[in-house]
Amino acid sequence: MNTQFEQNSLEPTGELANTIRAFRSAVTHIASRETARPVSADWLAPARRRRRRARQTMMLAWACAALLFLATLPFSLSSHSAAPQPVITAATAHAPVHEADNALLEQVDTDVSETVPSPLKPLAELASWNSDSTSTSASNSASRSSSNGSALAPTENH
Amino acid sequence: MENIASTELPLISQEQLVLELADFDEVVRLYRSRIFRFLMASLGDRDLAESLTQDCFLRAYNARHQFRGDASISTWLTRIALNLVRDHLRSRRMRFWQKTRDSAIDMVDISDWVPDPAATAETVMLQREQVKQVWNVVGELSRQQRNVFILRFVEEMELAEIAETTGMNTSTVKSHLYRALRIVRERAGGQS
Repeated sequence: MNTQFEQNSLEPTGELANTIRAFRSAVTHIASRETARPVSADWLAPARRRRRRARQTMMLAWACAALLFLATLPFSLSSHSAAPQPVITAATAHAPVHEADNALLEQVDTDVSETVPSPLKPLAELASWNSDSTSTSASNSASRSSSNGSALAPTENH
Repeated sequence: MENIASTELPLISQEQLVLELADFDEVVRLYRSRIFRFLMASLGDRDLAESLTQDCFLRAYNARHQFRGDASISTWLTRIALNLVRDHLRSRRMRFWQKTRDSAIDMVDISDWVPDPAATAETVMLQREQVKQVWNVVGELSRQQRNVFILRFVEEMELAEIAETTGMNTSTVKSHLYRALRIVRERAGGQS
């Protein structure tokens, strides 16, 4: 039943069928008339020309696109290289900052070393004495060891 | 009508098909009229149909070594023609600034078409008007509806063959055909 309905709805009947039949007849008539003459040997030549032209147009479009890309490449590269420039300036500006830091530290060092408060003077002296004594004790011990060594060393005079 | 290669081609083997394709002049002679008819019915422009017919056979010639004989040569050529129509309509849509013909059907001259030699002049005129009307309505159908309509009623293909040619499944073909027929019935004024 359903198939019957489908078949009916897909097959024109009555006047519509006649009209469609007339349409087919007219189209077929024109096609027969237009293709009645046998084709010449170069019948496909216009199609080949169109194909070649389309290919050339395509190649031209690609070439234009490539040229455009190459033309814009330096701009894009320069815009890319402009970004790391602050890093370079920072790196070059780092040396004077470093020098200024060193100068400041030296100044602080000299200031601190020069201005020892008077109440701490004995301590400073003690520290200097201590450092002196350590150096002297070190030298003493060295000399002592050498003297001991000489003492312990068998004398050739004996 | 008699010059047009019949849809009901005799059953031949794949080897025969490939051999037949090797003689390309014969292929052109057999199928040119049919491809031209399909393209003219689809586009309603005789010159354009001729150009696309040439393009179709050139494409087929260049791809003849790829033809494996899975489908008939007719189906294969029709498929190429369908693709050409699609490409043409797409490129025409891209060139929207160019003036397109409002009614390309007028370009096709059907004045020498006589539906029935015994018919009166009035009947002939009436039938020519009806044909123009149907052609205009076919031109207004969607691309797929138009393809299915023409393949069914001009090329007289079976639904399965249409499905194979267009790459749609049979139910989609039926659906497009149903809608196309409804539109033609409504607009061309035929009463079923």
